[in-house]
Amino acid sequence: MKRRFLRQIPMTLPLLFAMVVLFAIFVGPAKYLKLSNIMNVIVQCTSGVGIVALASFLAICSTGVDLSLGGIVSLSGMLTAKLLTWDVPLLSGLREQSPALLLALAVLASIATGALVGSLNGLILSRTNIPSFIITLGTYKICETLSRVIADGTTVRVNGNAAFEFIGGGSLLNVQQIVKQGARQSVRTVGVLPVSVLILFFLYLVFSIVMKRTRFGTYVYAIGGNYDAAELSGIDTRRTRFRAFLLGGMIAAVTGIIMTSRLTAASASNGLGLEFDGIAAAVVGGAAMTGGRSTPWRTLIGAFIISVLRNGFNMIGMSNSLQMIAIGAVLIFVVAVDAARNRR
Amino acid sequence: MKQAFKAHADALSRLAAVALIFAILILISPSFGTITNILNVLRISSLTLMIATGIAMCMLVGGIDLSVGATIALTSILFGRYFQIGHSALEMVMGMAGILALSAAIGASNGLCVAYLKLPPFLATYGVQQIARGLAYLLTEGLVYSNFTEEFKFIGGGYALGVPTPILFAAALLIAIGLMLNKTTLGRRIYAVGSNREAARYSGINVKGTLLTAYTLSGLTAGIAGIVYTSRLNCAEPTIGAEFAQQAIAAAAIGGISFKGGHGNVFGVIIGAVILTLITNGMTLLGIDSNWQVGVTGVIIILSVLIDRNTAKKKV
Repeated sequence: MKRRFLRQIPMTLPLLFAMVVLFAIFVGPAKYLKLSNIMNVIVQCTSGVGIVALASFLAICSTGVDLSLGGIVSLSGMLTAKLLTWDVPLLSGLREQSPALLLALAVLASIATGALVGSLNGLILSRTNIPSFIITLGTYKICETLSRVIADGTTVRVNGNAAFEFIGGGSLLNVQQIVKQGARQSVRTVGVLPVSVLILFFLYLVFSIVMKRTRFGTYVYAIGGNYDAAELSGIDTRRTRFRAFLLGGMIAAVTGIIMTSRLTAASASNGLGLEFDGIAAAVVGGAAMTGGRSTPWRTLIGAFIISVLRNGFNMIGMSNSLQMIAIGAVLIFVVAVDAARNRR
Repeated sequence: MKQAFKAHADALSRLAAVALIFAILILISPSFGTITNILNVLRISSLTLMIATGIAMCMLVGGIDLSVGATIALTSILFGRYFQIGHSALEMVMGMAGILALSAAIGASNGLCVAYLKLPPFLATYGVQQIARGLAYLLTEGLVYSNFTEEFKFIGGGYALGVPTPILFAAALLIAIGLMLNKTTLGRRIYAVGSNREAARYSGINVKGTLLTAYTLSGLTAGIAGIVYTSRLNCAEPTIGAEFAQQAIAAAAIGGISFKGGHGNVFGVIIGAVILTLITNGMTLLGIDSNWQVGVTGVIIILSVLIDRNTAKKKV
């Protein structure tokens, strides 16, 4: 009974707590635990690995891996920026007459693109025996190419679109903070309810319900637990895996939109490396590469751990190269501990 | 005769694919068929070829190696520090031995993670990749090394008997690995572990040792490729090789090395690397924007694996 209860707590939650305490000690509690820094970590997590991790989790849980996520983030972010700023008669006319409609159109088109790439992954995956690793590597390259072609060698800037900037940079509730810089005092506004973070929590909430309460979720866990058994018990494994990758593509597209909105610009390789961060987050959150384990909420904790690590290392002043080494080491360590636990 | 043909149908169809692409490219641009250009294509493919043979071994035992690009970057940086003009010959030889040992050690750490800690190869080699690249950045200290000795520049940039040296290195490596895979017990063990790990263990094969050896050899081939590449480029930077692992995996996949392990051979890797280079080279020849080339590579990876009946076949 007691062991069962202990198993309910993800082992990563204490890890997250320990890390926050550790960084607070190193950096200085007053600086590290300041509201603006905490919100900074959360927002950075959201526009980076946070939402992508959910897509990675879906792919991994259904015994696959999705390397195209980073490409989808780049492509959808680029597409949003381009649609909002493109000077063709139809779009510029729409921009003047009803900017809200154009924004909705751009967002929908980006998510549809994510869905398209995701369904391409899912289609090949469910019709052939090719490992998801190689399929998504191919689609990553296709996304990257399209993104570069749209960018045409430049960074696409989205200026002066308040409604769009609100998605990634806005906040429903702001707190005024007095910031001391030497002798000067200034008032800074810290958003404590950022829109992007609300989107993140909404997505995780939806998917935690989907994974727990719907047939799709049960099927995904069943496939991850034992693929052959799932197939023999009549589960349509092909369709389930197809859906997992389709949803993953759409989720990644949301990240692309948020990222472009936060930076108010899109470059061709914005999402570079996010697919691996997402996998790392899912694994740190307790997912097994063989599938069928972990939950959306645990994945979110994993994503926060990655973000806290990056933020903490930055605040300590650790160089980028050392950060790479440290994150590589953390990843191997966590997976090794997990593998050892599973063997017992 | 018919049986012999059937046994080699796979290899023949691949060869036919190369011939077809080659013929199309010659039709489009006659200058493609010149000896100079053919040697050029072979020289460019030789790097992918060397890396791909290493990765192919990891794939044959049912794994993957994502760390090769970072290994090449790290060896390259170390060469940058050791092979500057002003070092003695002895120092250089010792440096080269040490660096090859290091690249083998990186491979071995992949192998240890996979064989003994039971980590998924994909994650283990990604983690090691991060660490190796971080070290490469750390050791660079913000410099770019390019002041190499003439002897070192010859390794990757010279000609022997009219043939560019990288081709000779790749050929030597391929023959060695090919012989190892086909004629030695280690080769048999690699195929056995890849096709059925449990069966291999029950028949008394040291599975962990075989995995460790395969990954170590992959690290070592990456080290050799790193030497040749640095010498050819005449420059050492920590950003080198970000795409190499993907390129080599693509070459191996096109060449029919199965992702499930146990199936494929060195000949396939050669074909894969040549096809990949031919297509890139052809696109450059046709004046296609380099942006599109990346995407075409992606499409080719998927298509070639789709066409390959060994990997695309659905489980029965």
